Amino acid sequence: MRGKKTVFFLTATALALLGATTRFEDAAHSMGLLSLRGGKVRHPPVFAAGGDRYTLIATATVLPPFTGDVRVTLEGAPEMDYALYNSQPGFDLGLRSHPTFQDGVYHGLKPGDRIALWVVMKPGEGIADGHPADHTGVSLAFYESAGRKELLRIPIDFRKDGERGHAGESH
Amino acid sequence: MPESPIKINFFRRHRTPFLLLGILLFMPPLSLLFQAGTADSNFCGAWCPRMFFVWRDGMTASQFFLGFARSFAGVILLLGILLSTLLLGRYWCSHLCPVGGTTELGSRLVPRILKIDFSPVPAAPVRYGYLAVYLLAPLAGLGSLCCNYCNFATVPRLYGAFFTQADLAYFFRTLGWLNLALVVFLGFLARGGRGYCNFFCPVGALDALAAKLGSRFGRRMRLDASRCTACGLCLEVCPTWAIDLEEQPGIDQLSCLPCGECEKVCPEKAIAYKKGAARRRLCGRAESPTAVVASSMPGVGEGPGL
Repeated sequence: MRGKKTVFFLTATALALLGATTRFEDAAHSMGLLSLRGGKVRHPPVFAAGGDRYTLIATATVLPPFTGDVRVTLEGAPEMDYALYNSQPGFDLGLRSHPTFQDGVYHGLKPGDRIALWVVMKPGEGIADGHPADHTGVSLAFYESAGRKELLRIPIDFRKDGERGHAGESH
Repeated sequence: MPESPIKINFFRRHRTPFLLLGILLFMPPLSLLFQAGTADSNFCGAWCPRMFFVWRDGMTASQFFLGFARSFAGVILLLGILLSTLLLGRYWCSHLCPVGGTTELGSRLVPRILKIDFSPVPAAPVRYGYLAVYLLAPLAGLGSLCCNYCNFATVPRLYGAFFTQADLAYFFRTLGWLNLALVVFLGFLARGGRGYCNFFCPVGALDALAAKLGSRFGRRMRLDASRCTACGLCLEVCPTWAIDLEEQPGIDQLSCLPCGECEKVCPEKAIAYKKGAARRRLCGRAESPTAVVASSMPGVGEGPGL
């Protein structure tokens, strides 16, 4: 019995290691800080070039003293069709206030708020062969809605096979 | 045999309403506790305790402690679960966990002929192999199982997908399909509905360690070997295949949930929810020779362990 348990333990460990080190690069998760100083992004997302659909989960915390509305856009060439979905309760019970998202704009952000935005991108031909972000300049940008001041920019990298991104979670 | 005085208490007789309550508290669209506590809609975010220990490449100490501070709600919930388990057994897993509750309740709707029996697979070695990688891989910079394979991320979005497009988008990715497949095959289609809990749930794995640690003094499901006739009825209903009747009848406290399903079906009343032998001795209540309780604790019984 002990031998059987050892085999299962080692097999589970090996499979879990395989799972932990394997990346499916049609989705990625970036974390950022949204601030009047231009913000900061941790582990910018990396996707495998050649896909027909990508999902980016962009989470960010609002740093003081910023308060207000924030416009979110996907910028850079080649242009992509994209959709933005805010993570929010199915039914808002109104127990605590949280920012609302409508037509690409977060309303009423305040320091300490956390946002979680799902960006679904459908690229055209230009991404097929792989273009590093510094060539394409594709990025998710957060601007102060009133004054167009940049609060956070998340560069998005599309790489060819064999090139790897960060080893963290992709959500 | 005279009628046993054992009575199945309220919590184990009425487990389904508790599981439904857990779903209301933690799951979209209401997520009552999350909305009241942090305005979150699911476990991802402030309620995820993994931020407590995750160290990423290039992270500064201040970023690490920011994550530490951010995850206070989830950490408090987790510590509460572990503390209650030490004393009372895994009531969180059996009665309140909305993730395990969903797969178990869902599996009740699946015809028996479609169910998969995972009981030949020893759960504890698989669980702790997975947990070891879950904890150590991010620290070693090898990658992460967190988020990528998370039942606490997948199951809430099964509910949320009916209400928000963000939750629906979760499934339209390779990992989304993969996680859904794991939840379906190890959850809804598993006999007892607790395959995912038993193999891959990190909270369940920690909770099981707390259950084992406290089994000498805490209340647990215990099997009276002197009464057991090894009829096997309990094996049929145990959702976590924690009972072993092959040699010395016993219950593996690393896998047992106090769901009470075995207690309900045992014709000999050999299974009951009781304090540990150590606690009974402390309380000055000597055990009768016929009331030896077999459990997985060394020295108490020879039940299956890790």
